[in-house]
Amino acid sequence: MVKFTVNGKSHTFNGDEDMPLLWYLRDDAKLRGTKFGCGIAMCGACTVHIGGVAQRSCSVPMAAIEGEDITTIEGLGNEEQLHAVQRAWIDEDVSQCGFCQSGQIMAAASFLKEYPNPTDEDINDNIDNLCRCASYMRIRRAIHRAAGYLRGEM
Amino acid sequence: MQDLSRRRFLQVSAATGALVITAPNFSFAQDMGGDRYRNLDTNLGFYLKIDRDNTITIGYSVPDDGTGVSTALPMIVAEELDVDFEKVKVEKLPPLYKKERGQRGHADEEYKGQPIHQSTGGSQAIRRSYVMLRQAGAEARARLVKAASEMVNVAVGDLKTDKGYIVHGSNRVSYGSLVDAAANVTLDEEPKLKDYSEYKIIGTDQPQKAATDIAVGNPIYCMDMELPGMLNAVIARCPYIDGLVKSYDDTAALKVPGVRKVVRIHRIPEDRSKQKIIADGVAIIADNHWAALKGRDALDIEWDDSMWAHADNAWIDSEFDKMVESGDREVKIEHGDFDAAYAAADKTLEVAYEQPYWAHATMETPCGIADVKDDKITVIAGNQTVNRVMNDLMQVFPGYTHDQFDVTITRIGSGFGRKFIVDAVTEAALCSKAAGKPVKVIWTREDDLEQDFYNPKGRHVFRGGLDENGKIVAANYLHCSTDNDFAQHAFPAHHIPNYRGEVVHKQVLPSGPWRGPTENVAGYAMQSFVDEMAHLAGKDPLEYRLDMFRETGDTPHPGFSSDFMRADRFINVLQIAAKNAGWGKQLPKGHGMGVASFMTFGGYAAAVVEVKVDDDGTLTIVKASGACDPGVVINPLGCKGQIEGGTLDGFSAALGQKIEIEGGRVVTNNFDTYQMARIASAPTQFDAEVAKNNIEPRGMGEMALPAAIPALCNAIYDACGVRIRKLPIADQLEQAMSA
Ligand code: FES
Ligand code: FES
Repeated sequence: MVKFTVNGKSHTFNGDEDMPLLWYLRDDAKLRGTKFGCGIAMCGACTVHIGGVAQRSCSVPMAAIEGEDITTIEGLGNEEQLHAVQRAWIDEDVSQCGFCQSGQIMAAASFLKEYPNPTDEDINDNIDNLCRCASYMRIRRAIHRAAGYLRGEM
Repeated sequence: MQDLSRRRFLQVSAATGALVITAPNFSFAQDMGGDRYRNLDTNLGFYLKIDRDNTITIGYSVPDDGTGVSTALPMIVAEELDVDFEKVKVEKLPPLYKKERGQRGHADEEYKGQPIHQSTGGSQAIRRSYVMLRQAGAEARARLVKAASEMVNVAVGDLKTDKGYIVHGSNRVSYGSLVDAAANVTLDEEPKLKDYSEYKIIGTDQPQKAATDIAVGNPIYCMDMELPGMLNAVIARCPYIDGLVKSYDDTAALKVPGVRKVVRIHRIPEDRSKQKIIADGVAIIADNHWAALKGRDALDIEWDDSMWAHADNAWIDSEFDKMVESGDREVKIEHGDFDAAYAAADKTLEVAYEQPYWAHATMETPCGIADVKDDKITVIAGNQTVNRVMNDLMQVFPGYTHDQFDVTITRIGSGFGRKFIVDAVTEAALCSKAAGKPVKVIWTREDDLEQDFYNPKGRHVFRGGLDENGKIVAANYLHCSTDNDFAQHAFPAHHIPNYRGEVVHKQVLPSGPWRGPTENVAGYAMQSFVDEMAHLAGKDPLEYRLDMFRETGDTPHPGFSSDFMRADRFINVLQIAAKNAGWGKQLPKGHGMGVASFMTFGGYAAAVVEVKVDDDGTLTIVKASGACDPGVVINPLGCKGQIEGGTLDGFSAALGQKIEIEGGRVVTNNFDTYQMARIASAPTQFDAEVAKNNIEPRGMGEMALPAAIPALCNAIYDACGVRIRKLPIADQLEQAMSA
């Protein structure tokens, strides 16, 4: 049995512990904001926070999350109370199809804790989520904007 | 309340307590064999709904795969309706069944009007909806004004509208308070559509209506949906091109906890000389996706790979060699006398450009949900063409008629042409029938990259001749391809007096439309060729192009979305991009600038790219300047997003994407081997600009990419003298610089 929390609520899991966290979130917890894109940790669509740090949930087996606190996009913020990164994403009109964007937002939210004043180079070196629609110009602008929001500007 | 006498056949009703303007109903009635689609009387109806509390909802008929139609189409209605677009709610309209051309009962022959457009692709959504949506908005506004005029006994001409209100002097009446009356008024004349100069919403920046849903992770894609009691399936599809299941043993698979059933899926069509729609395979149906995957791993299958065991990229290249030598080809366009003019030319160039197969790799892999019951088929799909979902399923399930289908089309996690193919949802339906329960089929990324309908691989062979003034007097363009595609009228076919364009093809991997079909690779080849000719002539590549447009003027471009190609529009976008890029300025050492332009589906694009190539061959894309002219710009913010995305998508394809084939199977089957660009490859500077004019609009989704790739390659040449004659660029620069 594996015990952990998701967005502040406690969860227990009794099934196949090889199963990636991604499929627990999507199929068992029915939190579908976390997306599948590759299954091999190469695209970042499935990014969640484990202990506050971005991880690719397609490549984290259930066995590895005992005692962990998981945050998904649904727990980052909601319509009424958007997280600064979500707000920046909306304000920069980043999304095209949008399928990669919850992963992008989760990656950026974690990144900005470590790099509150990021340079373009910091972004290039640390963010490598795939956006098939190549919305990268606006992702970059939104990360800078979110950094500003988090610093209390605007 | 119906008003079917009106010649545009908009239908009006206040039956649900709201003013509902529905579609040009006549076209449906024809297609339906007389009866209207059942959803027409309920919910939203088509196009727009005004509730008594003045909530305005505008429907969009075209699924959104990221090009922004779910915002842009409602903007067009809102413009004529005159409402506050920020407050407008948008909703996907229910699908409308329509028989396809060639199918018995298809009505296009009799109905000369414009049917409701429900497909995203070919950059057609805006083009084919622009007039009809304005009519719907204008009809509603005219009715509301008429109702108000009757109510307060004021002439229609003395009333104005303002953001959802009828205004008379200082009095304001909400649209919502007039809905019952508005549904019952009779209009004496057809409402006049606004002039371009009067637009207040069209042409303004509007953020995507779905932006918040996306940012908070709301379940809006097919992959996020479910039906009660639904099972999950994955399918082991034959990875060999046109291969079959020889035999399989499911004993171990059935022992995996959660696996319910193993089902054989047969290739569609059965005739293997025809391109597959559904690959031959074996489906594992389980309680959840993970159990299905484990079941698939445990499956023991022997494949028949005999059909294309010899096929790989080197073999296809050798086939192209034979095509070039044999002279057996189809001449698609010819004017003047190429052979004589080439023989007499002052300077000549013979050159070939090669490009590999590209995959769509849509971010949301193909997915479909279906529940097949004896009397009803329910499906949820993220497909680009609403009609094709029903029409294709009816081929596979011939016992059902269209009114036995309940189809929901979701937001699409990117399409790029891939999601025209109704495969995942057909597989789900086959699984559901076998399991007797609703089934969701999710493709893994490996499934997706192995079983795609790839952009064709090609070799583009040019022979060109210059006269003593450096003008191109002769050119021969031979396109060897794995598909029968050719950019017949693209620049510079009609700008060269002695020209012959030819194609020869042989299909290997299944292929299908990929963002800017044909144009995507023709842009690279033709614009690289023009660039090489400019350099051979010793001319500035931008001026060289501009001169060709100036001298030749407008040229024919019959076909999809266009009749001719306008020189002034090309010149304009080239000049915008060049100005934003600072064309001609002194560049730092190692930097270079390249230019290209291309017309795709009636839209004009130009790109100027600045790159830096270090001594070791490291490439940095410094800046991109993209300019597009789609005609009337509905949503500049969205258009610029498409210029940015289309350009970077082109860079991504050019930099690293290549499908590798070994022994008749695709081996680049996930993002570790199929290389797509990330944020680090994107330039830090980007100027996206849309030209302003009032020409009937074209869609933006495909416009930018065909010019972006050659602009990048031409910039690389300018920076370091290496000409990219083969895509992807990969490590070519490192190789060349170390040589
Ligand atoms: S799905 Fe996890 S990184 Fe792609
Ligand atoms: S917005 Fe479509 S994949 Fe990123």
